[in-house]
Amino acid sequence: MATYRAGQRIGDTQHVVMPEPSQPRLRGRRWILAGIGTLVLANLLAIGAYANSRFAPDNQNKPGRQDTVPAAVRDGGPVVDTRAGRSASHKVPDRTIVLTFDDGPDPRWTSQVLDVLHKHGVKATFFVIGSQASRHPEFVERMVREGHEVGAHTFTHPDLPGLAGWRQRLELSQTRSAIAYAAGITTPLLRLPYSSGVDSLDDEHWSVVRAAGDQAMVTVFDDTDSRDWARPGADAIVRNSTPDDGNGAVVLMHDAGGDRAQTVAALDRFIPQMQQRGYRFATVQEAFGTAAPDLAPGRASTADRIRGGLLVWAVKVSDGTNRVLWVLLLLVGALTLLRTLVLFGFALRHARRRRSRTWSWGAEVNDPVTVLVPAYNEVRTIAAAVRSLATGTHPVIEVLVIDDESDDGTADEVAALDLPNVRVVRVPGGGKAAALNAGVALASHDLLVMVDADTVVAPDAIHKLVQPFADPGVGAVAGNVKVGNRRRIIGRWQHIEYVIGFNLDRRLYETLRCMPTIPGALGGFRKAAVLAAGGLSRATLAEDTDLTMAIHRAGWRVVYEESAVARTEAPNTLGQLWRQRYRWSYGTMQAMWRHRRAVVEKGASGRFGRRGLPFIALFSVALPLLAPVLDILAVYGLFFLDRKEALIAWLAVLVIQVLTAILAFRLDREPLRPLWALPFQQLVYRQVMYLVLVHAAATALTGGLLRWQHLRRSGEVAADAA
Amino acid sequence: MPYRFVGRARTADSIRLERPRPTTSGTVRGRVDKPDVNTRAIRLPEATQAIFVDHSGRRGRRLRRAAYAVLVVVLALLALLWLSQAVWVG
Repeated sequence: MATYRAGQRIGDTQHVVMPEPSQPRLRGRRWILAGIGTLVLANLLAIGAYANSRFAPDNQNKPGRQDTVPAAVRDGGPVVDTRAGRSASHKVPDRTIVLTFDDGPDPRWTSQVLDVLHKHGVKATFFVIGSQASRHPEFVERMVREGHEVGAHTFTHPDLPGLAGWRQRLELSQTRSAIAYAAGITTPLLRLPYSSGVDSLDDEHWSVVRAAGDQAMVTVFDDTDSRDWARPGADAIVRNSTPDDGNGAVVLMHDAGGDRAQTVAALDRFIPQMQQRGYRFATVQEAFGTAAPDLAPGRASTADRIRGGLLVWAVKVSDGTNRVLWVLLLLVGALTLLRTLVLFGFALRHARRRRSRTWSWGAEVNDPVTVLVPAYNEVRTIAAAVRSLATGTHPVIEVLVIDDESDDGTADEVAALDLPNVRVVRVPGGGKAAALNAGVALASHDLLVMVDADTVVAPDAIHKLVQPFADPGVGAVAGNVKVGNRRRIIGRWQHIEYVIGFNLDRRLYETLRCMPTIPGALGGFRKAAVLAAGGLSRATLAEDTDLTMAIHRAGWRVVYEESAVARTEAPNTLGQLWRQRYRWSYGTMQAMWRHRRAVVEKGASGRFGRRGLPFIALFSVALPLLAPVLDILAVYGLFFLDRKEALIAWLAVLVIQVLTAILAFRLDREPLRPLWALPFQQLVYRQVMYLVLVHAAATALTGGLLRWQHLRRSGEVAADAA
Repeated sequence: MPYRFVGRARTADSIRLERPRPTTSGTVRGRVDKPDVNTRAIRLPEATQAIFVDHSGRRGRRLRRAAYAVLVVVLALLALLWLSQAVWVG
């Protein structure tokens, strides 16, 4: 008898008929969410990069040709009015000083400048950068509240003539919006970045000035440049700022863009000094208001404020995102470095100790062993696996194949081998954990070895694997599992990963007594330890990890035996790899959650809980989850930062990976040739691995049901063994 | 397989979707005897219950809706931001 659906045999007698799984209502919903999330992050990073454009100090450019600049403007005053088709310039009245400050606001220096101005009762004009005003709107509000004047100095301080017309308009309108949000005013005043006196106005800048006039803006140049950006000393700044006898002047100073202590000190002396000489201080509007109409700020409309608000908060959020990413990068970098150093130190010490002539687990273990092989539809690989186990060099080996209701003739394939020390039992389909529990119950001997049905072991692997049981405190032993199918690049990548994982990570974990997993492919157990751990649980999808943690908690030692070698069949396609790692990641999280109480328990369980679990959580879950920061900032750096620096940083990470891999391969006495695939692994494999982890974490959070997924076997390892 | 509730019974999705919703207009109201709690079977905690899995799907639905809401708001704000810039650029 069997169960049929749509004319197809879908199971045996014991098969429980489940309804046909329904298709998700919105297929790929998670990918849509991930795509939108990436889009939002990319937007925030782009806004941050735009608002953080680097700029050089003013006055570094030499003027070009001045053919189209009217002589009246070139030889006129510092305020150039090109609104409504005008081409007028206005000079500062005699004995009048218009103090102007560029590049602010700055949280440190602007407040000090404002304090000095307040102390002397003087008003000034601040030409603020829009991105800075977005970050510190409170200073713009204070400027206006204290009676100062605020003008625009563009949003990102670019050299405007080099930009397209739309970008020039954007620079001005964004700055005005930020000011509107911060202080509720609109300003008609503009100072061009990298400008100085009106006499240096060239053709390119003249076109920008005229375009600004079309946007109802008046351009303000300067008469005297304090050159405070060069930090020549307070005396020199005062000297540079002082106009010729009796003349009025627009004085250029800076309240941001570096250390402005000299500017603050000079200002504190300049104001009383000029006042003593009979000068008055005025804002642009006070000084030029009679000559040029409509220089007073207007009241910002609600639309202006909303637009400014959106911009200001976009800059704030993107700055915050940037900061968080950089902090995470530092954290990931420090943890990776720490882990690498610890890994190197402990792995080398472990290998040296194990390979010393004096090392021994104790008297040679020749006790009989039961090898448990759970199998579900493994007809392509089971024969090679069982033959390699049954013909091992260990004195007494009983191979027990637990057939989990296979319908491809797996059990018949084993029976056909006709090996005297091989038994096959068929159990109702219940998953790998249930099959192994049945195997433990039916095992004839006290030493157990669990092996996957797609794994081929070396002749002496079982004998080597059980040697650590000479130590009565050892409850479980991890074998050295290698990837057998390495013809494709995906196999090579996994080979590199396995060699590092087994030869560095497991040595470290053993030393710290917190090995999270005895691999299902090859692991040795004392039956007493398995029973003390409560057997294999069906509560998690990583029954090997769960069992290992339970054995730790039961007070047994878990060790690694490098000489017990097996070759297993790794997933051959990216899709299969995704499914396998998805289950592993999810299962590891389940196992950690299941054993979380160990953190507060006493004795061996508490030791594992307080030492092992946080270590595993930090380096197996948290660090890989944060690892995408490396790639996000590498891509960000390539586009928005110094490409050379970004590339060097990325290569430094690669060098660490290469060194780690070389050490692991040397310890495992493996040829280094497959390492040519390592750089490509950093470009595809690593990203897939952390996406899988994110996927698993999302499934755990949402409570989704993840089932055991059977991988398609190519039979490559079995064929090689045959 | 996802489970949902039909009335009070936990039911597989495929079955639930086939069934019409029970009508509430003709609900019968009245008093019934309390169930005999003394002879009810004890429910032991299931040792093999899968960890993190929420068979009702309620947690996932809530999280998904929250994520959708946040994303919609963020996308709307982003669209508003870019549009407001584009309007001025002309």
